[in-house]
Amino acid sequence: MLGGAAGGFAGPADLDLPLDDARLREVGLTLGSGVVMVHDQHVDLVDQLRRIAAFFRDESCGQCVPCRVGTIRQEEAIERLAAGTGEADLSLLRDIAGAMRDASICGLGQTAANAIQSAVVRLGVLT
Amino acid sequence: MTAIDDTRPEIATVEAMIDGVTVRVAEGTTILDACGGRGCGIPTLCYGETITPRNACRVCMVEVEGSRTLVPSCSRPVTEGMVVTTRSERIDHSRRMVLEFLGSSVDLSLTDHVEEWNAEYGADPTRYGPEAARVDEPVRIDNDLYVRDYSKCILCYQCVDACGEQWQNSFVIDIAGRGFDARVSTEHDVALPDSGCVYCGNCIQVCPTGALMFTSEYDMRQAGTWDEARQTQVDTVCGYCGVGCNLRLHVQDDSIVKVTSPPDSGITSGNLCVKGRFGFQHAQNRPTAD
Ligand code: SF4
Ligand code: SF4
Ligand code: SF4
Ligand code: FES
Repeated sequence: MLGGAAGGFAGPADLDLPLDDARLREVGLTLGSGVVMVHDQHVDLVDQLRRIAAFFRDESCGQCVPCRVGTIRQEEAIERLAAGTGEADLSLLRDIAGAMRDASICGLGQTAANAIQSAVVRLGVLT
Repeated sequence: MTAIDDTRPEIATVEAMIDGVTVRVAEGTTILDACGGRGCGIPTLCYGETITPRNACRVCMVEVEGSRTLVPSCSRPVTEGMVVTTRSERIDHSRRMVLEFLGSSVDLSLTDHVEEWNAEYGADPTRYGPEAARVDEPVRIDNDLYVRDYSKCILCYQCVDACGEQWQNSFVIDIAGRGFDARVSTEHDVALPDSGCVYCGNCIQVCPTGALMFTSEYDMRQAGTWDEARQTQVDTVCGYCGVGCNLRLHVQDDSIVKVTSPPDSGITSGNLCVKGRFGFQHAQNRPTAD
């Protein structure tokens, strides 16, 4: 995982990617805070996503609607998905992510769905 | 003799393109105002008639070419060469989600236009399920004049700014807590009579959701007798002092049921003091048979 909680997951296929801002951007990733977190196959990624969702819900200052409510709705949807619900909650997650990214006031809300979306799209977590 | 200088300073203007139409507006004009202001078709919630918005609700978002995110039209000034789109799939998605986020967490039943916007943007607040977290607050009835029901509050900041630096300068209320737990609150959540509240009611005037409400209106709603269709509005001038504030009396069945002030009044801009706002009982004391 690159760039911390607001960054994104790179998959096994990305192992040869150079750690270069421009190159990462091309494939939809970011260096972000510079943190590189390595997860092996024994890590429970669903639990990681839960923790990331809880982190953003906790960190939201509450000023704007997309982040104040979006982060809690994101967490709720992930909890449901972790319990085995299906497609509807995945598309809900996508809907929430779009609004948070486009309409939140600051970078916190704008990036609160990054890691989760990248895990869903690149690694197929929760699907 | 002093010559009167009647040359007016040139008003600086900027030119921009909004939905394919070239517009020229005074520098500093917001995108929303360039589109015709409140009611022009772009939904607004935290932008009231008399308050400079904090752009917190994010329902008025539009696209500006070159901007990574959408921008709040109620607050973003038009700049030279700006290219704005006010309707697109991306914009509609954000508006729909804001409406759903609010509709699934607070009671919007008294907020104007919500039903029509939900229909327009396809918002369905029920799709988050019955377990979705809601703002669960008891109705605060701690004084005789007005009631606070924060389970209706969208945190638009308008009451905070009306009480604080934009109008009343009393600074009685502010946002306490953060994230989903953020609430409008008096200091340490004390009851209003223990706070610095001067009961001007200027917060009630700007509240778009009915979270702040005259006790008279609240009681009538509880009793099922509140009926706006039966009400008339009478504009008059407050008789209490020499300022001459404009009052708008809301009258139902020959009784004043609440008092507002016309937002466009040049004297008050919708603001009053406790006497004009709440001191109307003497006008309708009926003689009691004895
Ligand atoms: S996006 Fe920023 S301003 Fe908006 S609620 Fe989140 S932390 Fe606050
Ligand atoms: S009634 Fe006036 S003083 Fe009291 S909280 Fe409202 S705006 Fe502030
Ligand atoms: S109480 Fe009313 S005016 Fe105040 S923040 Fe809530 S909705 Fe806005
Ligand atoms: S009306 Fe523009 S952000 Fe609320």
